[in-house]
Amino acid sequence: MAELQHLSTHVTYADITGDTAIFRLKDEIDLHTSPDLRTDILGALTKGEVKKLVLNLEKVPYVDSSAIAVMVEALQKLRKAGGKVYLTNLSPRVKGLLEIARLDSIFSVVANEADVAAS
Amino acid sequence: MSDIAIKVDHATKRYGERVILDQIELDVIKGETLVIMGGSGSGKSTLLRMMIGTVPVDGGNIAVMGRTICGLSTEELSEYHKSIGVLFQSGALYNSMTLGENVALPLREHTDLQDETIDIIVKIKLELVGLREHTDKLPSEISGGMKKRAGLARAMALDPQILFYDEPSAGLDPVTSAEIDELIIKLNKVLGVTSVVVTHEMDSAFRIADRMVLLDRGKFIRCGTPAEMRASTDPFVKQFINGLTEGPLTERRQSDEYVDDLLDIKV
Repeated sequence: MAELQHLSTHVTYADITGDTAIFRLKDEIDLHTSPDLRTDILGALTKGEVKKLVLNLEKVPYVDSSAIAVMVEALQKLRKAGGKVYLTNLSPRVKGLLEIARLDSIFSVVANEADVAAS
Repeated sequence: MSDIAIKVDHATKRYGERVILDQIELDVIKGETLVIMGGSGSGKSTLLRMMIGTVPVDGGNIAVMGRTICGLSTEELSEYHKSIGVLFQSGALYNSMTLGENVALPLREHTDLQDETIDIIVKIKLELVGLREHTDKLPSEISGGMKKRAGLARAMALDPQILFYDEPSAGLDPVTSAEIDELIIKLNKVLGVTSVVVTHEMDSAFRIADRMVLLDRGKFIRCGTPAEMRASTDPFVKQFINGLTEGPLTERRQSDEYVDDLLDIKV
């Protein structure tokens, strides 16, 4: 297990165990805060052999396009290694945004973190 | 927290002696799509521009998200403009830039986002309006309807919570027009975006509106839901929404100072 240090204020918990990196996020993520989140997430992908990135958005009521772009960029990097990005605990609004952007199918949307292992 | 996105409080606009908008009172509720209707010279576009802050208010006030937009400094107005999206009638694209560069422009100018992030956002926005495969084209290489859709992608670049549309359906074929309407509805219903739409296309107005406002010669005539407007017995409303050739709008046109005008010329 590798705890990640000096993370942005949107990250309440982060952990890398084996090939899985988990980030639990909070609050609205927008143009002002997504650059820090990008640094955290892309930074984590360079550690070890991460193939599964899990973003738990239970406490995130809204994300804007810049946050979605960070998720897409993470997916671009992981796909090259055959990895996936799992999004869990999505609010209806965030889910709606992904649907509008026609991105709901490129991510692995699951109900909660426990479902990642099962998927 | 107030549920009012925009408060138009006795807003008046004059050009010289001529009153363009006369003490308009109107609230736009957060998350609704409000359609402003009216014939030529009704003042609907002026009202939209006053809400956007590009035409100064001569009397009364307009507040957006609780803050007045009247009497703002250039810097304050620029800050306000970052928080809203505007789809201009022509699309208002920069002709020397590709569609992708046009959409990226507000992101490059107003944010610290990395190029990789901006590139993805541009693709998402252009996909939303069905133009992703035309990212590298110049505005001169695409049709008027496509320009309008590209303008909408740019208006949405910064994910504004309020979007203003100036005649979004004008000049579009019925299918493209319906697609734009569908997008306005989705942004509104799913993301809670507040939309203010100026249009005289009745099909589109009834498709997208939560509420509608009718202006005539700078005066507020009526505001209501589409069902209320359809049921209205107000002769102005009835004539306008049904496109009738007989009614107060045409009667006035027939009697309007025309004879005086002609006689004056003869004198």
